[in-house]
Amino acid sequence: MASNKEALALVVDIGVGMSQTAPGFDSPLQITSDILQMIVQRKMFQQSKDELALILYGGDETNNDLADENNYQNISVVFSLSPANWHLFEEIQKIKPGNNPADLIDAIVVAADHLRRETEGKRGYVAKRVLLFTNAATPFNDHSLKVILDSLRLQDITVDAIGPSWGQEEEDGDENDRPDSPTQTNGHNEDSASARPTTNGHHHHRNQKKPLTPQQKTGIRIINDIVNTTEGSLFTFREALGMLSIHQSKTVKPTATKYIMQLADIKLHICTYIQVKDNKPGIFRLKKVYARDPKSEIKVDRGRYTKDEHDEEIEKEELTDGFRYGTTFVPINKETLDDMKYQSEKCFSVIGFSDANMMRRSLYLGDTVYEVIAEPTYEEEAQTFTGLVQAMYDTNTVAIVRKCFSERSSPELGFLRPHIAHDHICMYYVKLPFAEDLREFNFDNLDVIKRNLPSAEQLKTVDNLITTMDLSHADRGREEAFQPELISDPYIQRMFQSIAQRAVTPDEPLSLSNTIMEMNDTLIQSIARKSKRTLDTVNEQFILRDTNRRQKIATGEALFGNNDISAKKARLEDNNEEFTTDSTSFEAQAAAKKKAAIKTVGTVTPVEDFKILIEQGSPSLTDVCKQMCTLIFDLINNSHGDSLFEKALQCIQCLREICIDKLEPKIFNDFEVVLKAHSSDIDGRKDFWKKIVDEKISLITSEECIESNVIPIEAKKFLEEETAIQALNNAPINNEQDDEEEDLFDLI
Amino acid sequence: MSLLDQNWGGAGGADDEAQDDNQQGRQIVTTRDGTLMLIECTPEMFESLSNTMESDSSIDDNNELETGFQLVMRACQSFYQSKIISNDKDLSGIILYGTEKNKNTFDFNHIYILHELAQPSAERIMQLEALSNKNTYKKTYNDLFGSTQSKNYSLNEALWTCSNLFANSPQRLTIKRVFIFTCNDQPHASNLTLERQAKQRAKDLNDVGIEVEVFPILTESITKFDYKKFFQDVLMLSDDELELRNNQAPTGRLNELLKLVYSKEHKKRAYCTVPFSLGETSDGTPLQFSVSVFNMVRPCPKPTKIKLDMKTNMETKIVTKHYLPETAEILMPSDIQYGIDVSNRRVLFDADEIKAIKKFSDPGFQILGFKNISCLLPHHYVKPGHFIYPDEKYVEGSSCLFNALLKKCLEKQMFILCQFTARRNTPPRLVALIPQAEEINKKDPSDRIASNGFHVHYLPYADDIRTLPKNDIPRITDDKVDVFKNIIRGLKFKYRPDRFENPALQILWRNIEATALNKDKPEEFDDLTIPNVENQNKKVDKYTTEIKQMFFPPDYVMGVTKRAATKRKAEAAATSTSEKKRKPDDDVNVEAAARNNSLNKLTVPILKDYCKEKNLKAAGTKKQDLIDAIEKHLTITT
Repeated sequence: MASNKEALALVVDIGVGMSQTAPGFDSPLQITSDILQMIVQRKMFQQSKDELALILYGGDETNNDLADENNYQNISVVFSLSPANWHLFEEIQKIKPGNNPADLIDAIVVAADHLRRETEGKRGYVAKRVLLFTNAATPFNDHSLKVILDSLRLQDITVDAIGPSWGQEEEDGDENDRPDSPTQTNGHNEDSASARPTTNGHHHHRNQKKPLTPQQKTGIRIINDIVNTTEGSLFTFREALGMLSIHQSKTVKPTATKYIMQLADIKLHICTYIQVKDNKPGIFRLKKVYARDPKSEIKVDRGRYTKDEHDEEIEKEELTDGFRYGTTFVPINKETLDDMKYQSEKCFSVIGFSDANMMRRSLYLGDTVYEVIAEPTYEEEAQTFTGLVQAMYDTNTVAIVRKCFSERSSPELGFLRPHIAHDHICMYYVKLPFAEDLREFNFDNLDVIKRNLPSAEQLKTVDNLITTMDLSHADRGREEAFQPELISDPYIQRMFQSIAQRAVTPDEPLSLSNTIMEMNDTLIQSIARKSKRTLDTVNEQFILRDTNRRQKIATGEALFGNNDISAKKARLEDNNEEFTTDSTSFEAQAAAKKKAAIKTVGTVTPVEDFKILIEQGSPSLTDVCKQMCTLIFDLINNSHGDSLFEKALQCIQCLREICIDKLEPKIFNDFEVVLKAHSSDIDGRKDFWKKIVDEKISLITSEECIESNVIPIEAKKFLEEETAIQALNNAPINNEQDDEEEDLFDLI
Repeated sequence: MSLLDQNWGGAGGADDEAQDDNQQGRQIVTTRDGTLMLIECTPEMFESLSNTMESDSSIDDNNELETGFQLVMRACQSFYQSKIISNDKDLSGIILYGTEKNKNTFDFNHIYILHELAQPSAERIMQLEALSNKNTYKKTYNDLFGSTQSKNYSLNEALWTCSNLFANSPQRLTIKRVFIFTCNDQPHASNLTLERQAKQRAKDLNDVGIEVEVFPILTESITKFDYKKFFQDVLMLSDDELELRNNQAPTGRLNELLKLVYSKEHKKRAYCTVPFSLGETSDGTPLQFSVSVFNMVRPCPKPTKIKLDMKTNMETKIVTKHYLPETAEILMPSDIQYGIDVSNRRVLFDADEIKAIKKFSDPGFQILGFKNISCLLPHHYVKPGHFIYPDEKYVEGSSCLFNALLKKCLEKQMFILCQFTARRNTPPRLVALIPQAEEINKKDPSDRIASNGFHVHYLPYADDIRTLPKNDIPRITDDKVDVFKNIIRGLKFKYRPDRFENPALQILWRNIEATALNKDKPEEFDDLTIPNVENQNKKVDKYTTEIKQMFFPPDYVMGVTKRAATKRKAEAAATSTSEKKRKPDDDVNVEAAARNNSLNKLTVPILKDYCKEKNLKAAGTKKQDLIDAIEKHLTITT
């Protein structure tokens, strides 16, 4: 199969005009650099086969195949056409403003020539494209424009131009012709994407609006001409970022799953396409590597062992499948298992129709919305399908469907909702629950209790709040704000940023942004301003009293129990909660992190590390003890058999001594309580607790340390008493976790 | 089903605390119920059942159950079986009184603990089956408990035994119940002391939170059961309740026990309880209330397959070890980093950083604004949502503000747009909080169809929404659409979410049960998801025929007929037809190519299809592996 890669020349104006800007605003070049980085990142992360070249013009250097003494000066091909890589990324980061004149027409010619040379004789390019980044501030020569245009057309090269603005908010008509607009259901309003995530995340692009110079006006006219002739498009910076997400969605090729839809006697060929599904880029799959030698990947061994005190390993051949029936284990061999499976045929059968109002959104199940259309090859069937959609639409009904993907899969229940737009007709399929999937919760009517009844005055305040915070027309141009179609997943953005940042500057700590908040900063601020008054009134009229119960839990947890409260984490935390990000704080953190890297209790010589750190006096005693506690848990949890128990015991003894010494018995005592609870209910860790008892490592008593409020007899009892043992519970861990996204990042 | 499912006491539930703790990475507190069956074994229990009892017990398929004892054994069996599906962590036990032999810690006479308080098992169920079966029950009974029955028991001692079993339960139990099965409405009629002791004991049980329930058994000689004589005091019934009880058919609740229920019981507790933040006032005070988040709909998990040791049929466990391939050195978590390879560069993170990347803000709802309900488009959905209800435990006054928001959102047809972080290290999602008013079934005021609160509906991000080509087929005219409307009318029904059971799940449950209990065939299951086409046709035949005539040529077979590629656009037709009739042609091609030694000129999909068709196993997924497999296959067969 021929690949369908694109050859893309990034042509960037680095001339004088691009770096001019009023103080406090980002220069067009800065914004360009961000957009370029994002393009390159995406190409790399998607392992795109597209090839890119980077051509700068307006700088000091001249490096291109066409250059001679008088012609094509100050144009430099910095990166020749090839798939995106880090080298290109670094070249972009290196871009510095130049102060030479350069001719944008010349630059386009060099780019076209470069594309021709590099693609000639090679196959697999579906498109050749020049992306021109400029604000058209420097003069150029257009005497041979016509020839050049012809040549571009001949070579089938498209030119897109990207700049701060193209005059009076031009709504360039040809945008609508692009078949892959992201907002198919809702028309086009890329303009309302008030801002888009960028490489540097915490950057706020404030891009200065100032009147165009006559030179710019001419430039824009010519660029317009080129773009139109080559069937390209003009984008503002903001739109360009929007375009990037188009580039991204292109990588998922829609694939149809075909069914025969049955309705009574009517059978129709249909296709289903994924319309909405949680997107987890494949690139996020993490490899486990050895910290001291990141080149070596770690292998995982998952051995099966008998579940008794012997811990004998069992060979694969000696295992059989089975189920639990109460406390009975029911072995079932593979053949029987297949027989037991529910047999179904592939199907898509309409069970009946129901009122669309019955389909509460809270019933939706599954992780996908499918678009369903008739298979176009079967013209008569497609018409029948259309008739059905129209009739369902008119009567406001949905169809309840039994759908089964294949003989091997379980049938599911779902419903079809008709959808008709002026240029589109389809149905949407969403899964519905079976009776077993419902959880019958019942909640009392809130009005039953008098004090839950808001007064007329209170209701009026809330009414005001809704009005001031109404987003339905809150965006620029009175469009709906925060449209799902226009908000990028902040986690994906952040992951991309982090990967790029770490790849380029491996030693720096990550700076973590929250793109939803940042990109919509202006809007959020303006709503916050508008609603402040009303919120004040809400605060006056509604009495909300914090019972402080949550705090108690939080502090208890902060001490122990949760591994993620490690020292490092604490430092990385919470940058993101502020809407505006302070760059100095990042630097401070960077310094802090580097320093701290030498200052943690390691697994190799924990006792020594711990003692040194205590002596140093920083980080604080509590912090170091916390680290030690975490480490002890790690040792116990990761010990195979009792191999690490000895080390853990030493650590505990050392921690105990230090705590007595430093008059902090509570740290140790709290720790031991957690340890006891922790050890006595987990298989195999009970042995460790036994060791503690054998070694008589008790709570620190008031006799040993005056700060302690534990009397010796209590301490003795503590060791002797067994905790209420949670009976061996070999259930596969609680099913309630089903909602947690269990991907690879949920570590430990 | 209330007897099976008593895990839920009122709204808001005390259990969500446990869930909160869980969320904070603490101990999971599993809540369990304990049920003890206390069964009378006097001669009357072995008389034939009264007519009322017999005819009412619909469960008795072939007149197996002649006596009260058998009936009770069957009820216990069903209870066990249902428990295994619904909540196999719950504990149950069986105590007989009035037996010849005795077995209990206090050496009380005529009291026999058949099953200690424990999770149900196949062995127990099969034993109960033997005790209810017409042919075996007598012998099994005599062997186990002795052949004679005695009335010299003390109900006080029997109840004490129950209370003792609960006290010694290794697990913490949230609900403790004793079900008494008896045909004797005044067990100690002749001995006032015993009667007084028994009533006192019942009161003691009640004081420590053990519920007592009575299931009267009526026989030929005992046709009436008067609660007033004795059990009113045991059950602590008010006079009104007594009246109600005495007028009830005695079989009602027993039948509930006898019915086999294949349905999982869900833990009724909050998914999490989190702050709901409205923003800040002008002096910077954060304005927050508290809500509990519930999961109303979640896929019911299938029974998990486990791996058993073939030699012992016992459970096994997995031990995961990370090691270096070269040295086989076992590694600790601190030795592990996480790498992503991008463009030949390995980018490294440590575990904490991966977590930090996922962490955006503390759990909770952060309001962004309000939007009109119409802004929600049909395809705006990514994953199952939640339901929120105010919580007064963390912030008092939450309910009032919540209620005001709910009322106004309903009135103005608005939803609340929020950023929602469910757990500590979960990235945020945009959610629409859709207001829900209370809905009560008009015919039955006790049937609440929907509770008031907000539905939490997850919205997709731009990254989740795919771009699909437009499908613009010419619309058909209204008169034709009307025919379709007739079909819709004919096949319309009132959808209720609890109407359809999951066929795959039900079949699996029944099959596991049948295997565990050595049954020949599993319990039957009626799959309602398969539409009855015959019935459908009866209703709409007229219109479907009309449609066929309207749109299709006379010889057309819907869903089958291939397009005669006439005026189709070349490319569209090419793809679909080539796919349809590729198979025989390709086989020939592949074989011909193999003979010419030109297999590597064919594409991987063709080779793969061929392998699949001929059931060939390739050594790998590389092209050469496929070619090797095909060549090997052809030299053998030709």
